[in-house]
Amino acid sequence: MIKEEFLQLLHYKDLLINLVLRDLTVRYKRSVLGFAWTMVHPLINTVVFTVVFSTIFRFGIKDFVIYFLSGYQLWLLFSQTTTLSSRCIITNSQLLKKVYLPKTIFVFSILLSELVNFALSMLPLLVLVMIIGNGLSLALLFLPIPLIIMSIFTLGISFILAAATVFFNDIMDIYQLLLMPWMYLTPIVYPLDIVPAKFLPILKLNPMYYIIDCFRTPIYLGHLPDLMNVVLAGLSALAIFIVGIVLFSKWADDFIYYI
Amino acid sequence: MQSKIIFQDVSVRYRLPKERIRTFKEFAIKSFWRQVEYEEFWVLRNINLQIDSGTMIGIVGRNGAGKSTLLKLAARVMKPVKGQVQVNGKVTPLLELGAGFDFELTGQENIYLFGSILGISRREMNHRMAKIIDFSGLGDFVDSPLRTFSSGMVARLGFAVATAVDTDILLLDEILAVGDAGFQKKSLDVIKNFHRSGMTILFVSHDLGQIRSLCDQVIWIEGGEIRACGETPKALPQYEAFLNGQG
Repeated sequence: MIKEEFLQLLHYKDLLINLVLRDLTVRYKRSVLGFAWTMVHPLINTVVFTVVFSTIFRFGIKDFVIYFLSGYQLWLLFSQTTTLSSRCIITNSQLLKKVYLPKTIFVFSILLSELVNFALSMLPLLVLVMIIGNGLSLALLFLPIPLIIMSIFTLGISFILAAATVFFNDIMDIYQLLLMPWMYLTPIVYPLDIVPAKFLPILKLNPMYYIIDCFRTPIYLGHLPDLMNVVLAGLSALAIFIVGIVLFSKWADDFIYYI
Repeated sequence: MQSKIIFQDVSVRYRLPKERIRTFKEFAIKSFWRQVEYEEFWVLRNINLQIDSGTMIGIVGRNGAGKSTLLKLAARVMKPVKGQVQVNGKVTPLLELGAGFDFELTGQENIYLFGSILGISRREMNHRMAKIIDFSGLGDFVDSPLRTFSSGMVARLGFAVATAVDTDILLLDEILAVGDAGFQKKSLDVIKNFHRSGMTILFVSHDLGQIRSLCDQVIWIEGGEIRACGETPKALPQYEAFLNGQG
């Protein structure tokens, strides 16, 4: 069942490419600023968060912008992909009622186009790292690993959301409500050392904690992340992915009755 | 002759909550109090069917009889609850107006997109591009966004792409009613040519005149069951008599 889905996905790889191209062209075609839009959003957020947390709250993090962006960009990749994915079966219902398509293709295409945006939004961060941060270190070569781990985790959550939203409309709203506290339960805008010791174990139940850490450490500190964190990040991502794909394929045959 | 589509004892059941529960909140509350009641009804019951290669077969019946469900099974969009559906060959459904298109993309970009939805690679589409553009009569509009097209142009483009595909089985669901008279004639000619060249075609329509002139065979479905099935001159009058009897 799952194997067949992936074989079909391979067969429809041109559709996957076209869906990604469509997302990117539609997003950038009608805007004067074009690709710059991708960078404007994190830029404004960075200014706001820097003013609030670095200037007003005085967390006193060295190079706050780099600390913040290295976590926040990856969080955005996750939150945007999963949010878009939660609607993807509904959005394409007219098509799915008539044509056979591997249904996971929509989730994959959303992830891929968000990865392109992510890559673009990393450029300003890398410039910052060169100017005010640690400079370009060899540790940066490690970044594809946490990025792959995050993609696998994101796919898993996306599968669950996409399938559940078919049956219940409000899953999307419930998820949006959860995203905000989830982000604040992850050390993205605040440093880990302001967290009281008794709350640390709770924080460490969150897979996002490990994934963000693996991505941030090479950028912010210029060295490789703790191996244990990499393993925990990878294992939790894999577990979520398996749960996601199993649930999705279990429910996929029933979508047609609800769309 | 090889059978293209075989239905063996196929049944499809819809199992839906009596009140349509569309939110998780409602579902959680109601299932906690065990208030979710389901209603079951069989859209198709024990359908046995064999469609031979090269046949153009008309599917008739009143609204809600199960015609579209039959097409969904043939298109692999739906799986039967009981029985087996066997489809030998590539199936191409002709989509209704605009489904599968993106209105922000240009005509040409949409041709690639729509082609890949039907499972055709970009390279294959390149070979067919000239023919598609010619048939749809878009001319200079190929490079304009689809939102600037008239609905007739969108319909023509959809038809042109879907029929440019090499396929074994074509599914038509009330599709020949689009476009102006000129384009309708043109598309009917295409369907006739396909039929002549040996393609298997499933045609759902309420236009009995079209069914009579195009189809070799007719299936009449009523209440999820096959009431008549056979050569058009034999099977179609039974349905017509039934309709007349209904007044």
